[in-house]
Amino acid sequence: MVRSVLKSLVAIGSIGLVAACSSGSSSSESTGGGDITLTMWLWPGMGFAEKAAQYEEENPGININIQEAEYADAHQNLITALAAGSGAPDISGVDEGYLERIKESSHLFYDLSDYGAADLEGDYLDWKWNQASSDDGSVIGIPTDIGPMAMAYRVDLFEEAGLPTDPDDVAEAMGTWDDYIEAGKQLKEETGSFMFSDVADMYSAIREQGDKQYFETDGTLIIEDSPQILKAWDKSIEAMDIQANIERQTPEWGAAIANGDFATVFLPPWMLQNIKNDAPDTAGLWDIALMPEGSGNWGGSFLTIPSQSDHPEEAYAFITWLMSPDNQLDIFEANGNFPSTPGIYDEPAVKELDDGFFIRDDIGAIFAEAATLVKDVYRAPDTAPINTIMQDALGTVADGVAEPEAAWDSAIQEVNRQTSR
Amino acid sequence: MNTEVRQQHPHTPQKKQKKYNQRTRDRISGYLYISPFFLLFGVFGMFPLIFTAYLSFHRWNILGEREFIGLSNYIGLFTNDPLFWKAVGNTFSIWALSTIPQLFVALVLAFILNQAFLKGKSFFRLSIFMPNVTSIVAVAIVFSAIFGTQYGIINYALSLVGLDPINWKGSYFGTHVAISSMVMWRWVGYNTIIYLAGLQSISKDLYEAATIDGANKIQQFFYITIPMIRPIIIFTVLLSSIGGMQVFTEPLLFGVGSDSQGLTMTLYLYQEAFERFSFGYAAAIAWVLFLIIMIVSLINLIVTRRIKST
Repeated sequence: MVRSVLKSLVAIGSIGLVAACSSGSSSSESTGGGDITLTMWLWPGMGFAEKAAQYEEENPGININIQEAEYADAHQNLITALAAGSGAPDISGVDEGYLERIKESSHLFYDLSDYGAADLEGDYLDWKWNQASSDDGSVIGIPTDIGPMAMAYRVDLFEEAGLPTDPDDVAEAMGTWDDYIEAGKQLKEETGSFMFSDVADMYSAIREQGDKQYFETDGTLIIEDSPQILKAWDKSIEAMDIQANIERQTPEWGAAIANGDFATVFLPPWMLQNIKNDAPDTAGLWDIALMPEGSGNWGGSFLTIPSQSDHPEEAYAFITWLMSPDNQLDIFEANGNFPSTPGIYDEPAVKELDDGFFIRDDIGAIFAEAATLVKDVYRAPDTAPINTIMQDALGTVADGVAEPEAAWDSAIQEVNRQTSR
Repeated sequence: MNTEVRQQHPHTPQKKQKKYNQRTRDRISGYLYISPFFLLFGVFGMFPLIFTAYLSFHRWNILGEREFIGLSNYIGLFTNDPLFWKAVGNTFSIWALSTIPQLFVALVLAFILNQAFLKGKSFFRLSIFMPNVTSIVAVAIVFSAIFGTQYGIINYALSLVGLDPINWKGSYFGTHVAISSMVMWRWVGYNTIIYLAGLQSISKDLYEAATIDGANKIQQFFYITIPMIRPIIIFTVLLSSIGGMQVFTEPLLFGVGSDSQGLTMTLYLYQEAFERFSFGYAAAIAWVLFLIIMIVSLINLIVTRRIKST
């Protein structure tokens, strides 16, 4: 009797184990008949499903199994699978925001230069390609879309304030951040509206325009002497009176933009949709110009092949096909993801993109121009947490909790504490 | 197979099996029946606990090598981490602001729901429990809109009566009240249902006798209801204390504010692990958090013993 109880216990246990294993190891199983299934982890909005179906049709024997999870979950799932040593997919999307952490452990991914990735370098924007490659020439991922930043502005508010309204004139009149702040003060005085939503936005925009941020390329912390960081901080403090102190991507932001509380938004192309969603009544009131002093990048990702994959060659063939200029163009047309391949920026589909909501009828052209202005910025794994500290510190000034000097000092102290740990 | 074994080894296994009398067998099978819990607890409860303790002595970013650093994480946490102590303070403040009114409101609601005159009881009982099963994400989005600084309903109402708007996301008071009210909204119904179960165990005779003696409803509430359900109150206080130490989703979704005024202990733990990838440090926080919850529970126990004995 004891034995039979034990037996059934073992049986129950092994069922549990089998269930646990089969849910974990979904990577690269053959479905029989020599077919190869490539598992691909993405998050919603990447728009690859249609293209994957096309690839399956053109390449019999290859199945693409796309599995989506929310943005943060997708990355945490990947990191967990990498740490566990099993369960990672054949192909995984990795966003810019997680890339530096992933690059620290590049041994857990196939080096795509072994498969000939170097030959593709010329197809992509330099700064984008450099993000995913190391000094020793190894390549961790193939670039997908990008998020070059420009400035959307309310023509009616600018007109009321006596500011120029034509995009070229705006870009010229607000060529520097000082000009921009001056214009903002004029706008505030004449119309009562703020120039932009949140001081953290300006800080990020200026920070991204320098090639060096918090660290030297050898990892030395230089935050206190970094010219770009000091500039970003000082300008943000100067602009304190012309920001509405409303955080992005909150219900408040949507209400404020519908109400015309602020006149400009620094945005990558994917964020145009947020304005359209939140303020549908403002159609025809917005135009787009270049940002002061260049551009910057916000968002965009890479396709990587974890070294747990059994089919790196097939995976490589698929992702380089998927991210080829022609296919990026198709994805852009269908889904709006801005291509990272400058070779197609002159295509009518990009150049003459006109959605009727924004005044200018060559939205694609202005973002393509912004894309070429983006600088190659050095980031480190700790860059993202430090950004949060610095933006929060500016937030305490905006909320009236701290004076600028005290906020700077405590932010530096916190940065030092976190990086020295 | 058994017969073979018997022939080859006539003594050893056979004799032992004979020794099992019914009593021993019952005992063994009893342990086997309860063993799934202990096995599962061992795998999913004990192992993580011990592994967390082990991790807390290391520096580890999950993908790289684990580096043993002794007590450094704990020393850093206790001597050089203002953010953690801020999180501890915030947690207690939010806990006090949510638990005390919440349990009081739940008790009153349960008392009302238990009244004989009330029609459609099941409807009310069901609806009071709804917030607890509503998606917390939806709750947080709605509350973010209610507690908006410039376009929130509450500040709008304040402006109607001529009061200054409150900076909900930019001040300690505002953020703590907003998060507490979300916690309260979610758990009031849960505690009400527990209280209701307690109230129904009180004999109706007591209330009838009190009514005959001329006690009104409020007197009945304070002199019959509360003393009779004291053990249940103690139970809910303990549960809410432990829950209150672990508030996480509400501040995560509402936003912690620029001065980290909404940062709670569990949220800090989460940020260290999944945003800064300092898993060793996060493990140390987890153990300190565990100790804090133990201390809070102990204090609860001592206080409630006192109350019981008086």
